[in-house]
This record gives sequence, structure tokens and C-alpha cells, in this order.
Amino acid sequence: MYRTVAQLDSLTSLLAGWFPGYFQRYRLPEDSVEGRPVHALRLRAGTATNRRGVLLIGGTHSRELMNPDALAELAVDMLVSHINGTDITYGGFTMPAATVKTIMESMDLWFVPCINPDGRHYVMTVDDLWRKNRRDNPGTACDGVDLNRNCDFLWGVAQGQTSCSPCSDVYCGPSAFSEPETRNVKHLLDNHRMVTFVDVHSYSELVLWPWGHAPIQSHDPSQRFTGLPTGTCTASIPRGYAEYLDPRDHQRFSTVGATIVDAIGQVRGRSYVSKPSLDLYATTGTFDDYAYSRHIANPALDKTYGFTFETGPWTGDARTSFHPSDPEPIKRDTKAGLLTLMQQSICAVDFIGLKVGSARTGVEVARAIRDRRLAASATGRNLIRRFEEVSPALGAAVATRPRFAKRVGKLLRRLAELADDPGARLTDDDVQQLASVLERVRHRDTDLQSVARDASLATIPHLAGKTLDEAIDLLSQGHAAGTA
Amino acid sequence: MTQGSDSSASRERIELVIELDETRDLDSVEKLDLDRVPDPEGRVRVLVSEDQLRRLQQDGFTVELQQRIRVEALDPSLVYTDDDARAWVESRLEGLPREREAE
Repeated sequence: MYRTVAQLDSLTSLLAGWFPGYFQRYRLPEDSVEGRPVHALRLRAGTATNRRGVLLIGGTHSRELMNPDALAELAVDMLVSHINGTDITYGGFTMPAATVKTIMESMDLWFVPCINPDGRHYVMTVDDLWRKNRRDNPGTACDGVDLNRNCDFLWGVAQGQTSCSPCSDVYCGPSAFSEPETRNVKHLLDNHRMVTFVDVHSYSELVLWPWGHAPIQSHDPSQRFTGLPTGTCTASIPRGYAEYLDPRDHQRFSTVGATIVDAIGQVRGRSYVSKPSLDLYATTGTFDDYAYSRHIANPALDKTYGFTFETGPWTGDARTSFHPSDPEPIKRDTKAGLLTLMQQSICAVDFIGLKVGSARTGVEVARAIRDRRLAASATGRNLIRRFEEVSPALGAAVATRPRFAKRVGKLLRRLAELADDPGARLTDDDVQQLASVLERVRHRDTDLQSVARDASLATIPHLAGKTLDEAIDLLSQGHAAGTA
Repeated sequence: MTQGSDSSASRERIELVIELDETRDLDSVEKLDLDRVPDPEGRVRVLVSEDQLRRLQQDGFTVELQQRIRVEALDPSLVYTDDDARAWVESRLEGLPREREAE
């Protein structure tokens, strides 16, 4: 069953009304083309401020009906889990209550279940295969802009499934962000620190990530979309062009995508596939590419990892694939995938900064070391990957074990001291403290054991007497452990 | 009322698969701005109007007709009634202490 626009609005209104300690409901700055309000629902628990955000949107393409329902229901499931302290289970997939708690207490979860209410209403009352919004395109007999071609990312480049023709179902609109519905999403990205973004579509059972316009390459940073013309209304991307994707980000998209696919498979055995958007078909102006591209187009902006889900299988024809008579199993797959994406968005180090206020400077130092030093070498990136894999479990340990959080916080404070004084050297005690935390992890947390065993960490006993700079070099290269 | 896109302006959509060959490749299909939908085997599956179908055939494309689909509202039996939608949320949140009643 599917909810009407009014029923979705009612659900988010009830949640915000009944549970104001968890939910805040925001009317976004612009109403839809036909004057309907568009709401965002922010879910959080705990009192920490200055959090990372995850933005989840649905209903972009009107006929892909099940995703707005799945998003709204996921918000309910998380609330119930947090209040009752119960695990969330979808079929064979379980997310422990402690992990849900960590997600909700470390981040802000922003849900916009239906960014395109006019389109959804039209699907339910006139045309069940309508895709776009309900813009009246002046001078034509055709309505609608494809909201997922309207973003300011190579806007108006008619590559693959993108068109400048108002009668096309993939019409990119008269200008980038010409539509109030897309501007609302931009508003959220502009005004909140979103580390992860996902636009939930149907169908095909895919987890997609950048890029959508060209193949990926990771060797030539000078080959970037910022050098390509926009608004050409032709397929103007040169043949043979490949878009640069930072190796660390490529690794992260691949790793997170694979983790999501695995989680969805646990629900009832569906085999989703994780891959770059281009593999579905070429596009420009999409939300996921735009969200990720922002920090490249404007280096002053924080990075947002952008994903697109294509939920649900092919059912034998397009109509029932877009809105099957029983969407419940697909919604459970989707919710498992979205929860996993949120889980993967936890940064344990950030979370420690929230929990142990005095460790915040150390968090900044750790982030800088990760982005500027470790990310520059293959060994360093491997260490980042291992850390990110266990970050959710580490976050849960921090959330549930205050003494452990304090010890990690102390390490971060010491890190800040070392960064502050380039001549300072790691002491035997520093090394012992670090080894002791890892030893604790190795013995108590099955989920964390892999990072504690990482070959790069075999360098730790050799760090005493080194400056922070030298220590990072050793970790990045794994020299002392012979792992280079 | 203004019309929708080409394929919905008529009373019927046609779901079909376009066969590609050496002279009619993906680029030539993409230039037609059709409503392409995912296909389980990666073929070019589209939703088109009768006019678009005619143009495809005139241009020499080989198409495999899948089905004709009437342009109509979503089957009302697939939509929650207001009572059912409210009952769903009431049942999911049953027993949880509400911080306050909705206004």
C-alpha cells in the first residue's frame, strides 16, 4: 500500500508533534510548483550539537512510489528502537539497538520522504507512470521537469538520458535549479553539514555512486568536470573523457556500497549491485553527482558522499516494477540498506569529540592527518578503510562504555598536544596507552578485532621517540613493519 | 489542461524494447529523448506514445512490443485510506510514551 501526499505529511506531523525530543519538522523554503508545502523531518537523540548529517530524499521521480513510504517508516522504526532499546530486524537483517542509538546520538538524520508532492499526487489521481514534477513549460504542450536532471552539475549537457526538450521525460529544465523542489534539496545541503546524501529511486536493485556522466579514472586530477562546458544541450563530453575520482573516495564508495549490498542481501537474499551511476546509463544534473561534486566545485565546502538507490526488482513490466502491488518486502530491503548507509556514515572519532568535549581539538588533528597524510599513500588508505569498516562498532563502544570513551578521548588530547609542538616526541607512555586501547579492543569486541590486527599497526611499538610527523610517515608507509 | 510529455499526452503508453544494431546504436536512440526505463538485461526498454512508435518504425528501428498501458491513475486499491494510514502509525507507536499530543 502507498500513502498519499497528505498521509505522508500527516505522519511526519504526528511524529514531530508526539515526539518533539526526537523529531523536528521543517517546512522547506519553497512550496512545490503547484503550491504544496515540502517538509523535512530531522531525527536525532541526545544533546550533542554540531553533528554530522545524513540527508535521505525520496519521491524525486513520482512513479517510483514505494520510497517515500519506506523513508517515513524507517524514521518510525528508528524511534521505536531508541525508545524501547530494541534491535531493528528486517527478515534476516538485524541492526542492534546499540548501533541505532549510536547513529541517532552521533548524527542528524534528515528525511525528506517526498520532494515532489505534485508528481506523487498526479500519479495517484491522473497518470501512474508520471515521472517529472508538474512545471508548466511555457510555449509547449508538455509539462514537467525531471528533478534528477536539474541540479547544477554539468547541467544542460544532453549526455545519454538527459534532454533539453521540454517534452522529454528527462528534461533538465530551463536552467540549473530552476525548480523549487530541487532548490529545497540544495537549501538543506547548503545549510547543514551533510556527510552523506542518498536519493532513493526504483527500480533495478542497485546502489549507485558517482560518476554518472563519464567513466571514472583515479590518475589524472586535472581531468575534472569543472573544465567541461555546461548548458550545451548536446552530448558535449568528449569521447574518451574520464572523470577523476579521488582514490580514497573511490575506495569509500566501493566499500560502503558493498556493505550496503551485503546488508540488503541479509533481509531475504536479494542481490543488489553496487557500481558507478554511469553503468545504468549516462546522466547529468543528478542529485548524487551534485551532492558529491560540491566540494570539488567549491573547495570551501565540506565533502558529501552522494548515493542513489534503485530499489526493487524487475517484475516483468515497467508499471508493476515502479509500483508493485506488495511493496512491503522491497521496503524492508530498502530500510536495511539505508540503515547501513547511516551506520557507515558514523565517524567514531567525530563521535568521541561529541562525547568527550575536551577531545575536540584532537578530533580535528586526527581528521587532518587522515585527509592530508594517510590518504596520500596506498598503505595509509588501507588503514583508513580498515578504520572506517570498524567505525560503527567503535562508535557503539564509545556510546555504551564511558570508561573506554574517556581513554580514547585522552589519546586524542595527547594527539592535539603533539600536533601543537612539532618538536615533541611520542613517549613510551604514549605508545603504551595506544597499545593498551588496541589490546582492549582486540579482546572485547569481535567487530573491532580486524582493525586491531591491521598490519600497519605493527609499527606502533616503533613509534616511541618519534615526532608526530615521523610517526605518521611510519604508519602511512608501514616501513617498520615491512608492510610497504 | 496542458499535456504531459509525449508518451503520456496520448491515452496510452507502449512499453517496448528497441533492438540496436550497427547503424542504429545507443547514441541514435538517446537522441530521440524517449522515456527509457531500466531493463533486467540491459536492453533499451522505453515507454512511448503511438506517435513515437510510428517515428521509430519509420526511422527503421526494430522494436519488440512488450505491452500497451492505458494512461490512468494509480489503482486506488493500492492506496491507503486515511483511516488505515492513521491506524498504521497508531499501531506502530502503541505503548510508547508520547512527549505531547499533536496539535
